[in-house]
Amino acid sequence: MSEDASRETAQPYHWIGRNVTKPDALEKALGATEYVGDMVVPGMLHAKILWAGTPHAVIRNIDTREAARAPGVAAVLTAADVPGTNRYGLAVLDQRALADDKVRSAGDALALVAAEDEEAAEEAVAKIKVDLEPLRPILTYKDALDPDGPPIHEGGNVFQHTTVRKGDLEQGIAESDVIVEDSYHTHRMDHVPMEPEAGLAYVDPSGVLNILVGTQYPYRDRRQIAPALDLPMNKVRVVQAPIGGGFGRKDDITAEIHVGLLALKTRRPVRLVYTREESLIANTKRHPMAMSFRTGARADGRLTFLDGDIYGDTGAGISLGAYVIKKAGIHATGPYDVPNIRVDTYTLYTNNLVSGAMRGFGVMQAAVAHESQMDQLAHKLGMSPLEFRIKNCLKPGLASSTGQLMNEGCGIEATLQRIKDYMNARDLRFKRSQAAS
Amino acid sequence: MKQRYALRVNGGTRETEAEPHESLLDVLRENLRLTGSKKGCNEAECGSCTVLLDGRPVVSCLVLVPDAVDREIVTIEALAEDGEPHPVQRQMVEQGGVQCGYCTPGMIMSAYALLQENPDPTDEEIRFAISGNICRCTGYGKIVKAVRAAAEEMGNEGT
Amino acid sequence: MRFDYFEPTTLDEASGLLREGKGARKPLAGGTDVVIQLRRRVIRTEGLVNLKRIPELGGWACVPGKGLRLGACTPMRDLETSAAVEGRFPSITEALRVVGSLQLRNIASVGGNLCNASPSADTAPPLVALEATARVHTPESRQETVPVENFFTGPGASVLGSGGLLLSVDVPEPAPRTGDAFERFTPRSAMDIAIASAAAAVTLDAAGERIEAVRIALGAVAPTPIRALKAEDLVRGKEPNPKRLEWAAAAAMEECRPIDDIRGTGAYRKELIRILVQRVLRQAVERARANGRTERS
Repeated sequence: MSEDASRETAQPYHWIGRNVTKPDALEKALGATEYVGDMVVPGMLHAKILWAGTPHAVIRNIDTREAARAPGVAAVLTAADVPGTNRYGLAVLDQRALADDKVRSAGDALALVAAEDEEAAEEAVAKIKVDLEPLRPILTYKDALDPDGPPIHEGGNVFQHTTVRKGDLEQGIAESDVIVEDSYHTHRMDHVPMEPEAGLAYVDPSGVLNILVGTQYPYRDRRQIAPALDLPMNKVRVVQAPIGGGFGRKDDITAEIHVGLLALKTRRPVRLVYTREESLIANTKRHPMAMSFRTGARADGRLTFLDGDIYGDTGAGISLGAYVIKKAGIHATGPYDVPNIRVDTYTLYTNNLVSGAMRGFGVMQAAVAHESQMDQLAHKLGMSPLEFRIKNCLKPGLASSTGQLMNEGCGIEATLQRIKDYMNARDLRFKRSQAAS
Repeated sequence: MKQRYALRVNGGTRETEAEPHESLLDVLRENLRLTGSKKGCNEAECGSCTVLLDGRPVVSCLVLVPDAVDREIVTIEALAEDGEPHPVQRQMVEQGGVQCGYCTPGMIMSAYALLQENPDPTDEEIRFAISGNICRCTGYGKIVKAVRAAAEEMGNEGT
Repeated sequence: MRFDYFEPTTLDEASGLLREGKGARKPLAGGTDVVIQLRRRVIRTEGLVNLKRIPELGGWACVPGKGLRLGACTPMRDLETSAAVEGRFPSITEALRVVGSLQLRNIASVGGNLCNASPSADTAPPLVALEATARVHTPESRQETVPVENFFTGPGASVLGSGGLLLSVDVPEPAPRTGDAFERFTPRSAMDIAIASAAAAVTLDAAGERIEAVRIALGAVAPTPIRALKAEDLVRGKEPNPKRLEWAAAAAMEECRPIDDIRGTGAYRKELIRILVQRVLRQAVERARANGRTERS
C-alpha cells in the first residue's frame, strides 16, 4: 500500500460505506478452506450418536454389549461413562451430554460410538438395545401449563414469568374507540446452516483436550465442557474452526462434549459429523410462540393500549430461551408508542426440541402479533396502514415500553415517510389482499 | 465388496477403492481428499456437492461411483489455473458473494457450468442456474452480481 | 447400506438379474429416488441393477410428425433443454424445469420419475394429458404397451411390480390446433415438491372456437396421478370462455381425493386444483390457438 493510500485509510470513517474484502473469502472460493468435516487426523476415529427418538421416557436400561463387540468399534459410551457433571446449558445447566435418568426430548443423545469408519459406527449404533418406559409427553403450551402434567425438570414446567407494565390499562381501554383481539402462533424453525454440526477432538501430549469445532463462542464452550467432563479449565482448549453458518444455533454446545468424551476415553482423535437429518432433530431451534393480543386505538388513530400474553415453548432445555421469550415481551409493542401496556410472558419447558438463539432473538415472533394488530386496527378505522404507523411510531423524545428514551437515532418515522413518498411518486396504493386466479 | 475404480478427475486419472454404492462425493472427499465439494445434506437438496460430470453440473452426493467411471469429473479444486483464481471465484470474493463459504464451491461450480454454455446470461438465467444451490447467508443478490461480473470479465478477456 | 451391484448391458441380462433377486433387487436408473430411499432406510435391497448401460433404454428423438420417443433412462435435463420438445410439448418442458434442481436433472431420468410412482411426480400429469404410452418389459420377458394413465397403481407402485422394466415412453404427435400446459404449486419456486399440479392438452375445432378434444391430468391429489374426466366433459365441444373454465375447474376440484399431509391439507389442495386447472386450460387454449395460426400460415 502506498504512503498516500495508507494515510487515506487511516482517516477516521474511511471504511464507512466501502466494501471490505473478507480475508478468508478467497480460500473459501477456491474450495481450500477446511471445515471440521473436511479435516482428517492420523489415527482418527469416527463417531455416531444414538438419539432418543421419543420425547419423554424413563431410561430403564441401555445395553451396549453387542455394539461394543461389533467390528471396528473402539468405544460405546453412555451417561455412566461421563466423568464430570454431564450437564451443560447456556443459562441453566439443564441439558445432559448423555441422557441419564430420563429422556426429555427426541433430540437427546443416549449413547456414543467411536469406530474406525462411519459405517462401522452406524452399524454399532443400531446394535445398542434401549429399554425405555414412556412418560406422558408435554408437547403443547396447554400441556406445559397443566398443573397435573409431569414435570420435565425439578421445579415444574413454567420456568419463568415476566411482566411489562406501563400506564393504566383500564384507562387505555376506556379511551379506546376500536379494539382488536386475536391470537397468533409462530412455528418452530431450524436455522439450517449449510454446514451440519461437526467436531474433532484429541488429547495432546501435555494432556490437554483439544476440540476443534465450528462454534460461535469458544470460551463459553470451554466453561461448559470442562465441568461436564471433570477437567480443569486449563486442560481444555477449544479451537474455533471455520464455521459454515450458525445464525445463533452454534452459540450452544453442539458436538463439543461428545467428541471430547470419546477422545478422553479412547485416547485417539475422534471426529463427529452430523448428517442433515441429525442436525434437524437435534440442537436448538427458533422458539415457537403463542401470543394472545388485544390492542386499542382512538377514532383519530392514536394507539391507547396493548394487552398481551406470550407463551414461549423452549423445549426440554432453557438454552437462551428465558431471554428470548422475555425479549418478545419487551418488544410486544414493536416500534410504537403505546401509553398503556400489560404484557406477560411465560417460558415453558416442553418435551419438544430445545429452542435457543436465532437471528432476531424473540423480536420477530412478537412482530407477527403486533404488526397484524396494527393492520387490523388500521383496517377497522379505515386508515391507510402506513399513515396509521407513521402516527403511532416512536419518535425522539418518546419512550419505549420499558422506558428507554428515544434519541435522534430513532429512524422509523423517517423510514416510513420515505416509503410514503416512494408510493406517492408512483401512485401506489395499499390493497387488502384478494383471492386471485 | 470393495472394488477398484479409475476416475478421471481434474485432468488426471486417480485410482481408488470403494464399495459400488458409495457416492462420488464421499470418494472425492474421503479417498481423494478433494474436500472442496461439501456435504450439506447428502440428498440433492442443497447443491453444496456440485461437480461437473462430462461438463454438466451434478449433485455428486447422488452419483454412485461406478456411474462416474469413464467420465470427466471436474471439482472446485481445478478451477484456478497456475494459482490464478477463475473469474467466477475472483468475483465471488470481490462482490461479497462469499460469507460462511460452505455453499460457495457448489455455487461456483453451477455458475461456472452456466458460463461455459452461456457466456452472457441474463440475471434470470443466472438465478435459474444457481437455483439448486442453497445459500443461507447472502440472500443471493451478491452472488448473482458476482456471476454477472465474471461473465463481463470473461467477455472482455475474449475480445 | 451394503448390497450387490450389477451393470448388465442387455435387457435379458437385466431381466434375469431381477428375476434371480426374487423381488429383493432394485433396478437403478438415475438413482435420485432409490439412493435416497436406501440411505434413509425407507427401502432395503440386496442388490442394485444399473440399467444405464443397456442401449435400448437410452436415447430419445423428437421428430416432426412422429411425436416424442424417449428411452426410460434419458436424463431429464436432455429433454428440458431441447427446443424441439419445448416447441411441441411445452407442458413436458414446464414439468421438467421444476423437478428437483438442475444438478439433479442431469442425473435423474424421466423413466425413473414414472417408476418411482410418487403421486406428485411432475412429469406424470403432462404425459397423461398428452396420451403418452409406456413400453413395458414384463418379468416374463414379454413386451407390452400401457397408457401412462394406467401405469400407476398406487403411491410408489406401478404395473411393473418388482420384476418389470420400463423401456420407453412414446408421446404421440399432437393433432393440429392442439396446445398443452403444466403448472404446479410449491411454496418455493425451486427444489420443492408439488402440493398440487395440473396439466391439460386441448385441441380446438377448425374454426378455433370450440374445444374439440381435451385431457386434464392432476398430480398430488390422489394415490396416483389422475384424469379429471368430469371436468373434461364440461368443456368438450364448448367455447373455452372464462365461466366455462371455472365450471370445469370446480368439477376437477370435486374429482380429486387429496390427503392431509405435511405439505398441505386436502382442502387446501382442492382449492389449488380449482386455480391450477383454470390456468392450464387457459394456457393450453392460447397455445392451441397460436399453433392453429402457425399451421394456417
